[in-house]
Amino acid sequence: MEPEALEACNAMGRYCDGEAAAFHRLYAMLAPRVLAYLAGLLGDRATAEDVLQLAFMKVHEARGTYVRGANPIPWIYTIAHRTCLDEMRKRKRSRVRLTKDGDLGAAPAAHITGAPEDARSLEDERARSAAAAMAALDRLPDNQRQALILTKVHGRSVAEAAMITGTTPGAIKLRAHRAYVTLRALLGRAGGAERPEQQPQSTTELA
Amino acid sequence: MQTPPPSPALERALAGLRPIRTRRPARVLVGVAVASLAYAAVFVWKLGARSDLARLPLIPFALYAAASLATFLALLWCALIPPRGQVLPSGTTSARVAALMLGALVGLDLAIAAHPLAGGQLQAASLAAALAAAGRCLATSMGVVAVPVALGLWSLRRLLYGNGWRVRVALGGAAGALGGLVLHVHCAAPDAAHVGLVHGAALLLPAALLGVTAIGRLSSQADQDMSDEVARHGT
Repeated sequence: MEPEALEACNAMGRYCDGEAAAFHRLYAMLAPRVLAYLAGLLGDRATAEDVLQLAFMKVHEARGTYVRGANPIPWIYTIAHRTCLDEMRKRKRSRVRLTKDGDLGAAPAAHITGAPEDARSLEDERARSAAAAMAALDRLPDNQRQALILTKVHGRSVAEAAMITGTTPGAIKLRAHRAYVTLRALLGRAGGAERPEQQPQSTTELA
Repeated sequence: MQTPPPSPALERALAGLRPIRTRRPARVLVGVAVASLAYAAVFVWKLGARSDLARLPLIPFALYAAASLATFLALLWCALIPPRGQVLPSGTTSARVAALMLGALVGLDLAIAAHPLAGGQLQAASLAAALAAAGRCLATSMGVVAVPVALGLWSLRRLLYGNGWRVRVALGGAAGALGGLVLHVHCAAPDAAHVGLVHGAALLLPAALLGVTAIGRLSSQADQDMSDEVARHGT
């Protein structure tokens, strides 16, 4: 088991023994990464923060199903993923959000790391490339985006990504491959018009 | 990146934190298996064993019984025991093993039904009698599978997420194998069509029913994916 998984496993074990400090250790370890994953899926940091809290509440309620000695990271990602899907369905049912004046409020964009989009950071070329890649990533179908973010940005194995998203490893590989092909086409089109030499080599640069 | 602290609701929940008994999959497996087998044994004892048991050839009878038992235990293992170092049971393994073992068991069922030594022969029974016999056997099988399915779902509560439908199929397959074993010991119908079709269907029905419970969610997911595709690329 990897050191971080071992540490998470120890913290989870102590948390199940009733140590609240162990929960805080687990939260400090995993919440930033889970938040980044959720922000990447939802494209909205505020909603991602809400889903993060809901997901950790579900982890708390389901801690009795934890198996001692097991790596809790994929399990927590799975709970967060399902909570996020529920939230996305809710948002689909209420598509339009109006202000009191009847205007459509602009949703704040989120970086793939979960950080709010900072206009000043777009001044340099690297940030512009990342912004173009983010826009392209946002146009991917949900399942392809999930596969790409989990395997290439968050470093989950194909098997773990399959478990988190509730599909097969083969499907994850296929979705990630299709995501590459679509991204390449989208970025090639955008880059060809604007800056052909600035296409990112891989999506890991986005993080 | 700034991560928000745990919410007040979470902090309140943590304030009353107590040690909790965590899941022990091996114990759960033994408990569900023993309770299900005991229930099936009581079921057979209540219904009675088949009348031609003494005349049956030992090898095909024992072979099918052993295969049913092995399928029950293997699929229950897949549904309840997570891979080493994991919390959740593997949906992929569950689906693959369920397809393989249930396919083999149905094949064995058909082979035994058609085998002359097993008493298999096509009988020209009336349709009404055939349907009545089929109904009795399916009802018996459903009565047997109720307990392993209920116990299995109870022990998997809060554990069935995205891979839930595959794990449910494995659990249903395990229960179906146990139901098939009870039918094998109880039902003396010599009709090859009855043994092959009805008993075969009784093996697969619980897995299909438990799998179908996830269809609504899957189709809504597919609708969502389709609407995403249209929204993203259709404009």
